[in-house]
Amino acid sequence: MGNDPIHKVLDQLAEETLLIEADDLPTLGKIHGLFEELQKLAIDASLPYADQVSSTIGRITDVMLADSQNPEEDLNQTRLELKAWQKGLPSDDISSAPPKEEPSNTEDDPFLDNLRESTLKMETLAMSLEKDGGAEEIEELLRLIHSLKGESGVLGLDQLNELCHELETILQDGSVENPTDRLLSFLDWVKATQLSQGESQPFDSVMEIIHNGPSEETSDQQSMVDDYPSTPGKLSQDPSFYTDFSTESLEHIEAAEEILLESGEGDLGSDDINTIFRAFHTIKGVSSFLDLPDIQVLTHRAENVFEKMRSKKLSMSGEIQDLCFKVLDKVKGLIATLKESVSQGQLPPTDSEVPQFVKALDNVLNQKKGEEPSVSAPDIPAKAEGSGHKKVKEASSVKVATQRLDQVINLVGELVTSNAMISEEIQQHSSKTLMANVNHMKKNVNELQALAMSLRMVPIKNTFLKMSRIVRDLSKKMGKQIEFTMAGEDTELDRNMVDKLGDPLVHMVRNSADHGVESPEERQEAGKDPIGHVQLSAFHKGGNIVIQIKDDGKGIDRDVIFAKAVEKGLANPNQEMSDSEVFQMIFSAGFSTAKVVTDVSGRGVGMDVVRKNIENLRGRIEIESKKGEGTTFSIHLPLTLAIIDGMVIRVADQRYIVPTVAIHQTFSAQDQGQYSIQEKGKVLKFRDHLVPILDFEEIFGDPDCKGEGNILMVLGAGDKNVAILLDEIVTQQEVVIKSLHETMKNIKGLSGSAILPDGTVGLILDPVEISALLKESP
Amino acid sequence: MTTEPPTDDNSLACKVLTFFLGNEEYGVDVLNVQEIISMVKITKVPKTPQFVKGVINLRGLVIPVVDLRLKFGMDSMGYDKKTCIMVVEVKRNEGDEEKLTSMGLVIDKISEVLSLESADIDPPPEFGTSIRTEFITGVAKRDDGIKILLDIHTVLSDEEMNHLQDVIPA
Repeated sequence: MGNDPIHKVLDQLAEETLLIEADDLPTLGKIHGLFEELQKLAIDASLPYADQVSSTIGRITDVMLADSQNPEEDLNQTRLELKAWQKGLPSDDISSAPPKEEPSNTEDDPFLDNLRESTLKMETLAMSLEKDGGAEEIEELLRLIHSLKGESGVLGLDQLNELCHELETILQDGSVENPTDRLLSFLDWVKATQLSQGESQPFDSVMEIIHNGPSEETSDQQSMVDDYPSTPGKLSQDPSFYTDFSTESLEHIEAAEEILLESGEGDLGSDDINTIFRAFHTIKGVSSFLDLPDIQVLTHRAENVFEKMRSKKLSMSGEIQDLCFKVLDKVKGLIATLKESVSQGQLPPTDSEVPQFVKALDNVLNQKKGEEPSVSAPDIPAKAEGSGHKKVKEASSVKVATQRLDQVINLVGELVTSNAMISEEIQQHSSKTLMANVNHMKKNVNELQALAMSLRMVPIKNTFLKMSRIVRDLSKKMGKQIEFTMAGEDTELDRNMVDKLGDPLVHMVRNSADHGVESPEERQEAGKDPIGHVQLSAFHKGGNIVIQIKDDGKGIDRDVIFAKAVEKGLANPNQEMSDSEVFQMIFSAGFSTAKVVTDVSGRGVGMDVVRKNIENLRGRIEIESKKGEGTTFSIHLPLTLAIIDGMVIRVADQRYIVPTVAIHQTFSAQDQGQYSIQEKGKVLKFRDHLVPILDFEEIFGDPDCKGEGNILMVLGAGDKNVAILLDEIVTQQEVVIKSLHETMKNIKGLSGSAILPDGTVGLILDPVEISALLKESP
Repeated sequence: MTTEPPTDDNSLACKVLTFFLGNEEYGVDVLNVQEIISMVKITKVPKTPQFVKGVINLRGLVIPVVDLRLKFGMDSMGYDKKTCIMVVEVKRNEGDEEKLTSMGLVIDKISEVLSLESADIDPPPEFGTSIRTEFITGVAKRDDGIKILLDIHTVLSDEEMNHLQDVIPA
């Protein structure tokens, strides 16, 4: 219908009006002209908003002639109209009230759902951009930001629109070497204002950060301007500072030298680059404070070289390595001179050689990647495209309301049950074809069930990615260097579990970063790599899924924990406890051995909540730790919250289900000798222990529940055992767990209910609660 | 507990499903009734009040079943062919959210669906009924007798469901 010229005009108008000021006459004139063009086109194409364009033109004229009562409002109105027209809607659809920045927060809002997904994607991309990112990440980011810009424009989210626009510009012209911090600030703002996650900085600060980078960066750029004083001056600080500086700087230089020596001529790993960068950075910082321009200028240039290497704009070469050694030697020399001067109470004189070094470093900095200053070094290939970049083709997907999903799963469960009932009946009537057909149906139904169960499974990847961000932020905040790795992130979990795992994982990761991993200095003193490692991994093991948080920090000191436990009255000083038992004490409420409570952790309210959350998921958590070497937390969870393998038993006329994992052994009540201990009820001798026996009347306090007591079943409950008296073992069955009504959830001894194969409900017993009853009985 | 007024407080008609408990006829707003099923085997749940008969399986959902006669302190009657289970949706508060949950009521006999105008409904009497006034939203007078209109959300609220738990002897 010839709409393309119209859209061109609309786009132009949108751009022009975006940031226009009411007194910008030339641009207003331009806009006026564009609107007239638009009017002609719209009338020709009989578009619904054609008449409204004329009133807009009138409005613009008013603003130009300063006849408008509220020019800002008019311009705003115009922008809104443009947005509607871009969508092809008449502008009547827009209310004249100023647009709200936050759309209503309904659960089904597709914009918000998309936004959640894209912010997570952008965060991941931003962070990998920092590590070893390149063109692919930038392209993807641009795509996402561009879409977001468009959407926010249509929805009237002006601030978001502007921020996107700025980011797009910056990413496109590649002027910023390391945009990650700016991207993350932007994403934090988006999460806070649109998704109600966290606190937001004011719009202006975020815009400022996007333009100029986080404040640290800005001050660095300014310090590029250096002055050389030509005569030696008086010491500006206390001499001891200089001495300390000398000693520490020499240490840093040695560390850098060692790395360079070990790496040979090849490319340096990112950790190594970081170390050397830090070395120069630290020396530069202190030398600036101490008024040592030579050292400062030199280390600053060197720092820049390594910064470039960090962002993969420069690779190590033989030449550069030589230069580095020379620079390091020079700095050593400068420090030696410094020491002499300080002993005479003076600052060192200017070193005439320094400018040459600076020039050499500048040459390296100005080099394009892959270029070599001299011929002899072999060509370092440009970063191989696709190296380590897995571009997994994203499978297309459909959004489905969770409620609907749950309904499907419920009904499939019912289908399985009815199918089982039919199969049973069919056995009696032996028409071969009938049986064959029913069996065929059974296969289909079973397959459907497996599929339905898998609908609830989601990979744990997103949760792990969130942790990655937390580790990065924490390590920056605490001045530690922590590298975060993941393994098995594609492992799938029931979606309910993933939600509930979030908080405990965050807590434990923070602990590792805060209490576990030491500062780089401490680590170096201990002879460890100054960069700490935190690894999250997930894998299947024996019908369970295991999630591990592993750090190579200072480990848990068993003695400190034990002492604290004794202090809190949780343990007897003479008690003999295994290491793992001692470590489990950490989970007691109010327990914290942190000497300093940071705002990150140390208040002692976290770990007990963590354990409770995990127990609610029917899981358990184990701790392994070696002092000085590190700690590993292992969370064991059942594969799905929904199904357990159970033994159906009958007591009197009721049927219950006992989780098979809890069953140790079953005996006929007549055979086994039962020993009686007065007033405490009967006990059973089992594997050299005495195990208390409970019948169902005792468990539920109801005489109707009592059965004949033909069979004894020994159950394991934590580290204790308990035996129950029942009438009959019916069958072994995999059952789907259904939770009980709210008011029944607290019944001691029951952990839920399940639908039995014949369609009736069976109650699931909880061995841990049953054994807990023993403590209460008089 | 405050009495909740009937859902339609003006002359708009409201529809009520009536049923018998013994000889008395009761009514529940039809909007709250999900379905009616014939009697099925109820799984007993220990340590629940006497009027909670247990739980049943409703197409994959496990819901509690309450015997209203026992709840209202009447004598229990045997279950016969006419006894059925009325599945209702009850509002309850979970944190600050209001959610709907399904529950079953054992009733002796289903009667009919009545359209009532507010003119037909009288406020609950102060005394004279066998059940607590907070459960009653009003009384409908018809030619064939009086129907006591129940506020099902109050009758089956969490507090009510837990109410007698402490009293049950160990």
